[in-house]
Amino acid sequence: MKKTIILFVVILGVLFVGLSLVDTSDYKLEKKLWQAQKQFKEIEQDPKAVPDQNYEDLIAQYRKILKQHPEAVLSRKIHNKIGKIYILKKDYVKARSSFQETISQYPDDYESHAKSLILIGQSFEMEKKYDEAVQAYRRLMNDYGTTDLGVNIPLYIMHLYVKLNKQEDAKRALQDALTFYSNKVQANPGTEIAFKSKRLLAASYFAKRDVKNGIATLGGLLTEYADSEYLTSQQMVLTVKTINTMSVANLKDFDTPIAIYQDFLNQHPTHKYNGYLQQTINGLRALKDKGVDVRLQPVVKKKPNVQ
Amino acid sequence: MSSTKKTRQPFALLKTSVNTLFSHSAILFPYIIIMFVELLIFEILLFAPRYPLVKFFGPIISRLEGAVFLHYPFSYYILAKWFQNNVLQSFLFMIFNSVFIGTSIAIINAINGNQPAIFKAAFKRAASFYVHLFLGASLPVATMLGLSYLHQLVIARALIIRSTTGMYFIIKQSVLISAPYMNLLLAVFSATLFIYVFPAIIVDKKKFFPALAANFKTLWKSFWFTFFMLLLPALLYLPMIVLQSASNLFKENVYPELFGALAVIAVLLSVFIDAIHYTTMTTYYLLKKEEQ
Repeated sequence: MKKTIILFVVILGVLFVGLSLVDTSDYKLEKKLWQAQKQFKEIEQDPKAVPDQNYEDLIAQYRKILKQHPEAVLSRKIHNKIGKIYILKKDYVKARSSFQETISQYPDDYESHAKSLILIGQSFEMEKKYDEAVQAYRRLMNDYGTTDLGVNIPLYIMHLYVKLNKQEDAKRALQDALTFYSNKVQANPGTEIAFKSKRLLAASYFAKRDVKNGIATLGGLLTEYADSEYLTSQQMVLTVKTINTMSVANLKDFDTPIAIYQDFLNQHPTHKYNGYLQQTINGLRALKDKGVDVRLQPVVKKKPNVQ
Repeated sequence: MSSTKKTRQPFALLKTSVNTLFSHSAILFPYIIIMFVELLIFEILLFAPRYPLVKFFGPIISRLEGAVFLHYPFSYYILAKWFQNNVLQSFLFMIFNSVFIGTSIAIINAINGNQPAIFKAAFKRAASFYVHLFLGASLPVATMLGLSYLHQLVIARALIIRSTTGMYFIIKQSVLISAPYMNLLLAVFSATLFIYVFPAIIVDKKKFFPALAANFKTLWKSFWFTFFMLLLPALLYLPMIVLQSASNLFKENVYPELFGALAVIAVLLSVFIDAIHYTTMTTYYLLKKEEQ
């Protein structure tokens, strides 16, 4: 019996060691990064209370991981993570230098570049160096405009100017955004980037208070992408709700959304969202018949009681 | 082993059984085989998200749980969930454990009859009753699954309660907090209902239905005694419930490896509790037989 038990232990041991040795996945790297991330979160909770040594230890830990796994795809995030530690330390120059390393070391990784440029811009914003921040964002917009982060940045620049109360710059940024999104839609027809750009083009029209063009753009989005995987159920509901809100509440116009949805139903008689659209049409007709006055609820700031 | 006084003294019977279990390692051996197989499955699941096993398990994990569960630390949550999965453990119990529990009972019977405790012979005897053991194992499994389903309905009803104070809130909290303990109680109850089926098959060489009749005959006069005898060793599992509940509550602060470690300890502990259960109740069955 003892021999059998020893055999069992040997089998389990050999299997464990064997599977560990042949494992070529990023599992060990994932574990190290998770542990480092855990420490990062601890520092992030109260950066001021953390001794400098902890920051340095964590940076050293990240550099060690990078040295051990230089070729791994996950390692590409490490320079940005080190940069974020410097941000917590408020050492913005070193942070940006770390973000820049991602761009210089991985020239083919556009998504990481985009992330680095966003972080560079944010670090400038934290220092209230807004011109430099916008410069980084514009670089992101021009060079990485087809990335997830890049496609959102033109409108962000506009909102940043609005926040800074620079109305003229905001107007120009909005015009740039409209041009950017129109170009993206034309240059990449039928793609995900065109889908996102069209949605953001509509948002830009709404920001310009050109509600009619915004609604028309969203209507076009529905018809153009009816059979596309990008028009998920969430996107469908979001688009329909935006059209309804902007048209009914802003323009008191029930007919345009009804016409858009009816047009969709006629063009795609067996579409899976037809039930939802028919329900929306019925709802809009009922509201129109009742003469309901739909308004956007203004955000009311509660004034403190002054005695 | 035979002492008529001990038949109705729970602690004395339990003590005798545990002593028998450890003094005759042959009785424990079938359970060691069960533990080995459990550990083997655990190792395979542990390495399932990694190369080369990921080639096979990767698409299954991605489809059933999501691609994120192929990566650390989420892979450990799946490891714990899958390893302790009711279907997997029930399947193992019916297909595999049943014959080895039968083997262990055959060894106890041999020792009781002053015969040599030979694993091969005991296994042969158990294997010849495999179909009946399989059917005998499926009864507590089916009962447990049925009771768990009813328990889930109660939990689902409790979750609908919106009250944040008062009697309904207390009921909701009681149902939710007591859920894992209730589950343990249901498992003990299910095991109690059919605990003498295996001894009747192996000791008396009965087929499934006569063994079932003998089980209820024995149980008829000693239900609460049997329930108590099974509940006592099952209490060893309580710390596991507390630890697993606590680790779930503090998921963010504990190392994910802990989930894997707790899962493997929980399953091995269940096998050990099974060993005590079947040794104790087989001893009781043999003592009752001698009394008659």
